[in-house]
Amino acid sequence: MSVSILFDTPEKAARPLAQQPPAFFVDLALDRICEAAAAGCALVDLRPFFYTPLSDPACVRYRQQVLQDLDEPELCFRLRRATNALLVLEQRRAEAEADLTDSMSGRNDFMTRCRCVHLAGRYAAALKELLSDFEALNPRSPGLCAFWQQLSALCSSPEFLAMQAEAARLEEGLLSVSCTMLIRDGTFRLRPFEGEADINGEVRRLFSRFGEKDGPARSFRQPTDATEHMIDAQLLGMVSRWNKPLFADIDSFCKKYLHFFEEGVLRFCKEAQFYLCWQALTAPLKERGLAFCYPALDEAPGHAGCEKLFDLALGLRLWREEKLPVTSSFSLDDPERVLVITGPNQGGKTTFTRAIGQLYYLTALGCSVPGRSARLHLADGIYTHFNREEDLSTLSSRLQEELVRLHGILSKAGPQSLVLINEIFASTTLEDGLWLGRKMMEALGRIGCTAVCVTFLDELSAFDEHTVSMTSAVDPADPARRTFEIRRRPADGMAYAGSLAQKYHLTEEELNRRLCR
Amino acid sequence: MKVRLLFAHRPFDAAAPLAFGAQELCSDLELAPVFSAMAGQDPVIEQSARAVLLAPLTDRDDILYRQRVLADCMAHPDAVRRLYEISCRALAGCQKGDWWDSSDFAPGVFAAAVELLTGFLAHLRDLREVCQKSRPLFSSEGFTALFDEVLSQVDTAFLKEAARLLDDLQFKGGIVVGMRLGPDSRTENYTLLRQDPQKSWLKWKLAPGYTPNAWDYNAIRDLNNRRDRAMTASVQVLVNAASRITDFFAALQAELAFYVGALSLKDRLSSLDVPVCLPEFCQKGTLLRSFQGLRDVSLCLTLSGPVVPTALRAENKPLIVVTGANRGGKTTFLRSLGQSQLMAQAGLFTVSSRCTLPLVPGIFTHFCREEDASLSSGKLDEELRRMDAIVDKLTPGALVLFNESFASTNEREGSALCRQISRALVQNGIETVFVTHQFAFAALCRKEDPARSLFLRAPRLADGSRSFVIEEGEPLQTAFGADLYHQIFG
Repeated sequence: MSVSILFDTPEKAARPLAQQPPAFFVDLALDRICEAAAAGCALVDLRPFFYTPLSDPACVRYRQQVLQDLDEPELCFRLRRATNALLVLEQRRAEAEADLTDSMSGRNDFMTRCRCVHLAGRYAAALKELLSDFEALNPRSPGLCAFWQQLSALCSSPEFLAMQAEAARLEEGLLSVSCTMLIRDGTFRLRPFEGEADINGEVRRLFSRFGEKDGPARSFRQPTDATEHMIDAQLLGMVSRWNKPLFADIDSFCKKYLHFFEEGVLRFCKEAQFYLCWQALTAPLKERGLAFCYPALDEAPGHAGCEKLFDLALGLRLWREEKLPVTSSFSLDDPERVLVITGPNQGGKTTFTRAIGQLYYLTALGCSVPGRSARLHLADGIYTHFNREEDLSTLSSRLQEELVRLHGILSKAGPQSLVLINEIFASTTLEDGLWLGRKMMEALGRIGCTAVCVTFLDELSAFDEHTVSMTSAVDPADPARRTFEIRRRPADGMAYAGSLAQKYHLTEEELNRRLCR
Repeated sequence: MKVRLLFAHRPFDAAAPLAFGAQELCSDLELAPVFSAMAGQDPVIEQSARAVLLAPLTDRDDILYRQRVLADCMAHPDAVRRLYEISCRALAGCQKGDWWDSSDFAPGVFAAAVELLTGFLAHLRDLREVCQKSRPLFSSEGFTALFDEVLSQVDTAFLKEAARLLDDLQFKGGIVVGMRLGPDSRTENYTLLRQDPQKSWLKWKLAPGYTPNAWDYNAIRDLNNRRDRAMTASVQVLVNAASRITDFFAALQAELAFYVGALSLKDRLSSLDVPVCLPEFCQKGTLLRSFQGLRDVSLCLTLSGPVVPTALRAENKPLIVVTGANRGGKTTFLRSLGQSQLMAQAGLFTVSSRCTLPLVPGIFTHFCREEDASLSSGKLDEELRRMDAIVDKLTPGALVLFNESFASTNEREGSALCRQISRALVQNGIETVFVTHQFAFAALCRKEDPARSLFLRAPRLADGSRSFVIEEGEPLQTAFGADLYHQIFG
């Protein structure tokens, strides 16, 4: 039974993974985060892991611990190197196996057999190196320790040691082979190398008298060192004529050790990619000074919060532009459940909402999350209501569509759920919107779910004792500039408009002064 | 093989960055006609002439070394021109196409390098022949060392051996490649081996072989690829070999170019009946500037008539102030002074019939720039900034030529400024020549330091016309601008 480093029990490990992303993936920009993370690994398709959130705090902690081990950059670096090498090795081994066993392949020849020997040799070396990496860096997490144990048993097994020694002996024999090739009129002939003089020396000797300085070091298109398998095989066949015992041993090695790759090692290599890709994704942001943390998990909602939260998708984009995202903090203390966010457009409200959604989802994956510290419960469902561009048809049908979606959300959500509602009821009259908004707030209060509502309806921001008001702020020094930070404070719809008016000398006072000339 | 025709102990770099102020020298002293008289249409000569003339030597022995090489050239112009022609033809071979510098296709460069080297062998044979004939006739160290080196390095044994190697590199009997098995059992470390397969044909006949089917495109391409790999491993060495010979011919060409240019310049001036002479340098520590028949060389080359020569003797006169009529030859005189200094210190002849001058550590020009006729305050600012840069480079003994400098303010201020600057320069051992129309300045110099100053004048003849003769004389107050006005406005 092989160890899993992604799931703490074999039962959980046996459950199938989701193959499709959850419905809110695009709204929360998780698709971009997931693609960016999965792009770091070409050998394993990581997306199903990102599509499958965990529902069990124990398993989340199991993953968090592995990831905390990997916060040590050296361990992370070595594991990445080792697992990548091993995954490539397994790919090559599977190809060689197919070549040697499939009678139609036409490649059951000396080249493939020699390759088998090299792969086995490299496999043995890679495992040994991985083991010594573990010993040197001493990871603590239960996940990595379980695999470490398994690996160390494997590496000291007599069968493994015998294979390693035999592969090494054969490789050494092969490395000592040298030959001379004559290429003429589309034919090649081969003889053992007999110490013939090379041309470079002759040319140097004759022409160095003309100057001390070599020509500029030119870069030439290197002819590919990829070679035609058949020619290589023919060549090795000729070499085998003057190295008969060596090549006989290679034949018997292949028969014995064709399936050298351990199942448990392969599983480890694949699963490790999830963590390694996550570390690779977050490392550059950490280097720029953005904080990531492992959220503390509560059994039930009541107290939730995050300090210095930011939108990871935006952070990744800004990183490429050498900029930093703005961070915001929030906290909800019983009986608070609903964040109502108001403030000027383009002020970072949607970004903040998205970041909260990401926070809950990434926590459920066992990942580290953007922020200095965080505390929350595992949401049993995340429901989003974001404006969709394609829904901009007639007003009445849009309102209808919004209400249908809202109804669906409110009927599914429970007290453990997270509901994110972004700019709802913008398409109706203020009075209608307010009335509907109040209904919505009542329903959220009844369910008791954790919710974030972005709205232009200031009245909703002080709805009841569950409500917390937050607004997007502007720079006090230059009111036209947005800070993109979202702060906890009462809604003040005119603060921003007023400051802009001042900037353009359009306040009442100034207008009076300007007009009374 | 070294070429040491311009410097006894170091190679010449025609592409070296020009020293400070070289651009100014070139335009202020009007050197362009000199370069084009030397070069004709030949850009190599133009470049060498520029690089040599604008980098004056400061050591007497270095100058004498060049003067002796130049004397050989003047005695045997045909042999020198023939050597130059051989180097040009050899180099034309490697300028046939862009492949040589830019191609990254090793087998192509390989074949081209073999062809180029084969071509070089023919030119080396020609070179050897000329050297053999000329050796007894030449006497300068520069030329005799060159001839001796060519004769000993490019001997018949070398020519024969090189021809055989280059013939082998055509691979008429197939290509022989050494290799070994690498860590993945594929062959690596491809090296081209020198072996004539025809001589060892029996060994190869018995060796196992494989011929891919004619339709097996991949296998045939693979064999070609292995051949290419071996050639790629050797191509840099061939490029280096070709590059060394190219460098040799290029050095020969660039250094000869200056002398060939000098020959052309001399021929041209002789056809204009303008005398030239090798200059003499006054003893270190003394200051003697003495000319007979000094002429502005660019004026000689561009003017379709005789140029008025100047005679001058200035002994221990670190300050020379030239005043006088506008367009009376002041600037021409100033140029001829600078030109003679530059040409003398390049090892060249001067355009005069007799010439003695000091060896100076630096030649600088500070000419009033017409094109900078912006606001006058900005102009003065620009002039002072330029002066500031020049002062950074000045060492005792240097020569600074001023032409109507610091005149963009009123005469009182300008004169005081000129006087301050000239006084400081002279005080610090800098030789200063000032062309000015600022009478107040000239008068100040005369009053303060007559012993160390020489005053020259471009006089006006009685009929108001100009003689273009520069002669000694007290500064005169007007610059005859009225003459010019009347001449133009009738």
